[in-house]
Amino acid sequence: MQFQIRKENRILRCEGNLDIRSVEELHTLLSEWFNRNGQLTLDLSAVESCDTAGLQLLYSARKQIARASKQMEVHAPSAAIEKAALTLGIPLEAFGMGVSGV
Amino acid sequence: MYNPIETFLQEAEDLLIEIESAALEMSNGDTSPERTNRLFRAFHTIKGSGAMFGFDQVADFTHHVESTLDAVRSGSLAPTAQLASLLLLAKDHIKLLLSAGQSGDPAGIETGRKLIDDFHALAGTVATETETLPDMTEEVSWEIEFRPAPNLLSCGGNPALLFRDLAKLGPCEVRAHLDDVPALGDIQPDLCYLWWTITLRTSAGENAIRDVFIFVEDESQIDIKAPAFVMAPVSTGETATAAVPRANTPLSSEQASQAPKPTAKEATVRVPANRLDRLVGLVGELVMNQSRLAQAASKFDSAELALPVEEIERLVAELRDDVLSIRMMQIGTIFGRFRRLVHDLSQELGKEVELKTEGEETELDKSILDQLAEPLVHLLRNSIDHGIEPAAQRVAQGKPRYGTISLDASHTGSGVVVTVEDDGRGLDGTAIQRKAVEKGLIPADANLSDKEVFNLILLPGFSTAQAITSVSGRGVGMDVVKKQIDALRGSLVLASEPGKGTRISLTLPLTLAIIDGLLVEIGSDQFIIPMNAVMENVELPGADRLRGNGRNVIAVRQELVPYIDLREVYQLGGERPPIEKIVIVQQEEQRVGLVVDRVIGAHQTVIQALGRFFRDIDIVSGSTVMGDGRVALILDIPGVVRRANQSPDDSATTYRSAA
Repeated sequence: MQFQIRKENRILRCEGNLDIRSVEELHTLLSEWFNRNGQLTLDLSAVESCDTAGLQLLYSARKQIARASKQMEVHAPSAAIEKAALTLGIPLEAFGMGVSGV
Repeated sequence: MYNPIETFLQEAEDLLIEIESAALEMSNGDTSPERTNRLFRAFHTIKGSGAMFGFDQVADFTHHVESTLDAVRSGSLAPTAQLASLLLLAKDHIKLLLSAGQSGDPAGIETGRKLIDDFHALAGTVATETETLPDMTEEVSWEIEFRPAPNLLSCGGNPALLFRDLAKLGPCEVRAHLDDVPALGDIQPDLCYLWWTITLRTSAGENAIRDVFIFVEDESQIDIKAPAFVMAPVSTGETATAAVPRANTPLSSEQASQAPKPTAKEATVRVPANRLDRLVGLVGELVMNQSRLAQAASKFDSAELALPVEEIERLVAELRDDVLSIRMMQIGTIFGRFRRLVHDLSQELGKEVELKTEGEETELDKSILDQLAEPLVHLLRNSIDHGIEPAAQRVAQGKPRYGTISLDASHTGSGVVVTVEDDGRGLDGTAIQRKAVEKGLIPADANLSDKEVFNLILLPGFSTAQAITSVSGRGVGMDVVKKQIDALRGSLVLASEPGKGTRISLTLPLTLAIIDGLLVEIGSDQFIIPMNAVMENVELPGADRLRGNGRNVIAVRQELVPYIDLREVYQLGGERPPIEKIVIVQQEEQRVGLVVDRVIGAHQTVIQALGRFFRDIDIVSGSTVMGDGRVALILDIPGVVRRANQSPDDSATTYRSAA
């Protein structure tokens, strides 16, 4: 499925493939959203596949928000995200996520 | 339309060329690990890509070659000339399979199986269908640091897959390092800022680990260390060196710096040859039409017209030179092929021969190069078959055991000279003359110079081969070579010293498409004489026409030069001017004059082929369109010289019968 972002009640919901092909778009979206709203809350439950570039971007977003002394909130990382993080040796805590937490 | 299979086949061909050259170096005694690695990677890539594109037979076969090379890499098999020969046969087999297409070649299964058995016999192993892991029982804990190139992700690389492959070798722990990842405001999302340390426990050996990274290792940094020879997991940062399981596997810290990186690929573009031909054709027409434009413009006394026309002339000349230079290729591309040929022929004929080459960078037009390969192959075969003596005989004569054939290419300003020289037994003038008399080619009492005797072998139907070997074949004699060289508007000169060797010199033009010509006129007809053959012009006052030896001759500085009267040959009729001109041309060592009315001057001539019906005309090789739209014929100098050597009775026949 194509990558999509839905804005629902100030939560960004990512759907589809979070990978090298969609990171450019996501990068732009995340930057704009954060600049406008000063916060970032992601719902990752509908991410179907995720690769190195995708996880890298999520981490980059977290770093950006930490600079503003804010927290990035990530809700419900999908199984795909968990699997990618495990394979690539990146702990979910790095994104501020607990394991399959809310 | 983009066809990935075409790309695969093209790249496979390149790899096979690399394999052949590396295998030949191995058979010459080069046993460096770098060579072995190159070979391994080439076969590995063919295997992988072959499987990916459905060439299963290729992949299955190549797998076995790869295993054998793996054994060489790990030191359990020596890289010998015998292995090199097998590798060459494998290369041939793969080439065959590739050309059979994805469905494979059922006829090749038997050959393939035999080769596979030979490989395994050499390695002392048994052929199995499954991937065999090297026979190691000790588990080692490896610490791997993987720093990929930043463009890894955008080039389709996927670290997750790499780690998955590593995990197949044994339990492994992957740790990503995120410290280099920039914040959102600074990040370029398609670059890879992550790097990893991986701890892997496996008995598979270092090569198996390196193989996981084989497709990314060129641009990434991969360090593989074996910090401890223990089962327990190793803490990061420890570089304690413990005993390495195999004495001949060097510690990876010595290999931390990769093998010398190949020089950066030159930026090149692959272009289908027929597109280039079209381009050359278009440029040719542009040249001709520009010439007509210039002529027409000169009739108008307008600076406004003259200036751009002059500028166009300059630009067209530059375009012509640039396009022709695109077609230039280094002669080294066919020299490479010959190494294999000499290697195979020496084995087949039981001779020991070494090929030396020089001037590989010398450039020639591609179409000349394509047509040059065959005659050169003939010359090499002749050298090995008839020239080079068997090793024992050479040693008995005080010659070095190995015969040497030297292939040399160099530029001479207007052309390229290619020489094939051997240090064999040389041409036997007496035997040649005897044979020529036998075949009725010369009278029994003919008194010939050495050079003339040697040139006898260029006559059709001549062969002094005692036995017709499968190599030299039936009657593929020097006359065929001569014809092929003539067709390229080149020349061939023989030199030889009995007992010492033979040298054959080929002179070739730089290009076939456009030549510098001398424009001449007879009556209202125009002809072009290739400038590189023109020696000088002299006058022929009507009173000075002589006849000697039954031929038309003129005295030029005490030398008698035969001439051809083109007006007669072409039955052009018309009035002769009181003083005619003779253009003296030289072909190899012979000079001939061409009688014309007027010599007009130099003319850049775009050659147009004459067409099927006119192909066998003896003294004309092509035509060109002049500025005013008329057609001028381009004279073929070898043909002209041949004509001049005939008796005057023959000159009445203007057309030679089709060969």
